[in-house]
Amino acid sequence: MPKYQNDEDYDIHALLDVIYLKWGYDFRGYSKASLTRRIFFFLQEERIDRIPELQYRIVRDRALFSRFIKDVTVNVTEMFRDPPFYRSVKQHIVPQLKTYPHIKIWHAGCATGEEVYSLAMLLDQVGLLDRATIYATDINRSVLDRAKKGIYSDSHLSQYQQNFKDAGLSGNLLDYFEKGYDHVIVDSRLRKNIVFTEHDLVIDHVFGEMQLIFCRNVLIYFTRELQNKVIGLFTESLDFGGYLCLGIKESLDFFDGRKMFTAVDADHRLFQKTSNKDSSDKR
Amino acid sequence: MVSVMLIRSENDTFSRLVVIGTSWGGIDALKVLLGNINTPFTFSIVIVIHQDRQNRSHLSTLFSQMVSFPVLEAADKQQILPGNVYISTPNYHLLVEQDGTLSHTVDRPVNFCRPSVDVLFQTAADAFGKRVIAIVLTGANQDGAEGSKWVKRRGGQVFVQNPKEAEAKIMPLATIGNTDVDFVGNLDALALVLNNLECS
Ligand SMILES: C[S@@+](CC[C@H](N)C(=O)[O-])C[C@H]1O[C@@H](n2cnc3c(N)ncnc32)[C@H](O)[C@@H]1O
Repeated sequence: MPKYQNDEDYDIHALLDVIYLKWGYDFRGYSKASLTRRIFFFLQEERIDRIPELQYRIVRDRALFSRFIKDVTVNVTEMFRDPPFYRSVKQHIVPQLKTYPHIKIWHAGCATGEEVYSLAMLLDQVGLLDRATIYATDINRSVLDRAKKGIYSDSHLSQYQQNFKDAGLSGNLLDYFEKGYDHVIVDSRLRKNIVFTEHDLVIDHVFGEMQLIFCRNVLIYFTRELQNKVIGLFTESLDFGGYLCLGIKESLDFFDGRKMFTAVDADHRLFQKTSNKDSSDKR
Repeated sequence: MVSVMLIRSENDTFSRLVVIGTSWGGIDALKVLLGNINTPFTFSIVIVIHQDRQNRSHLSTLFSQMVSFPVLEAADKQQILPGNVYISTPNYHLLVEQDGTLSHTVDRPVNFCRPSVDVLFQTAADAFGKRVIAIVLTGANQDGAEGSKWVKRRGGQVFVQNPKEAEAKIMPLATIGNTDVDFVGNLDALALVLNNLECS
């Protein structure tokens, strides 16, 4: 059986190879259905007819490549996505975080920052914000710039206020924002311990010793092999007893080192690293 | 043991991939459709149904109690197996990969919907072309109409619930208006067509 269904697949494969060779970004382990969809949107946006033409140009045009990164990654996010998840974090993870004098937290794939500020609000309410350093990273520089600015259109505000309540926080979401004309700006108090930097989960290395890692709705874009590798990176970066929080559609079921973790709340994808030794039988 | 299972799942691919899209009235329609399918069957069914985003899907449990075949909430990178039914999760688009697995994205809504029927249909058609049968059931929006066109373009077939029978006609009508559909019929007739696939 041929490895690919049609010529388009060869084109995409070749494009990803060339991008890796030229720019060092590796999309070859991404799940193809979503990536292909995004690449075709990008072609439309750039008014490029065919993938081979994109392949030719992307090697020669850095600006085009930057726009490619910006457009093929899926950056859709929201404040307090899955509100019950935040309740669970408060119930299951916060008590142990309180026992540390200082906490390091990593948001991998933070997109435009809504999730980072959501957790910061929660930390504020439980008195942990001043003790925390939060590293918020993404492969896409342009979303990081927006995350850093912390300016959000108020079109989703009512949804976010509802999420805020459903997540079990007290007071009002707007306590943490300054109101602009058609937007809101994150209060500086919330941002002072947050460091936004570029980090590529596929290529880059361990980040530091973390007590908590959030990586939600990023692994869904990766094949099982790449998921395995990236979760390995998280495992290395986690302190013994540290926590890993994934998105609702993500799990450790196929991770080689899954036995190093204990599910603290399997439904909400909260895992704790409870062993330093990878004793699991490799599949 | 492990290797035996792997070999089984690799060879054990579906005869046809039936993708179903529905919205308003969809739960009742699916009860009738799934309830009328004869077991065992060798195709696989993947369903996108629009639901309130707050409801974590309990539909798989609901349907599982009604029928004798597995009805599962789609898991990420899960292999689509013959005889199984997979249902979307609210707030995630559901996609079909070329290796016969399912995947998800939180990309922007399509037709104001996430999951979107169009996204399921298009990715299924891209991956499995002629082997795809798309079915559009009751619903009060136009999601699925574009995807159906795509399914046809890639050589698949499109079946639509009879708008007269559908609780909400807009979705079936939109598809019929947009695409040269292969079959329009009531739910029991649609089930019959699926049952007959086993003999052909
Ligand atoms: C859908 S967003 C998730 C945002 C947030 N965590 C949430 O759940 O709402 C996925 C993010 O992962 C980022 N991403 C994709 N590939 C990446 C990689 N290799 N390294 C780091 N981030 C990546 C994308 O740029 C995007 O911002």
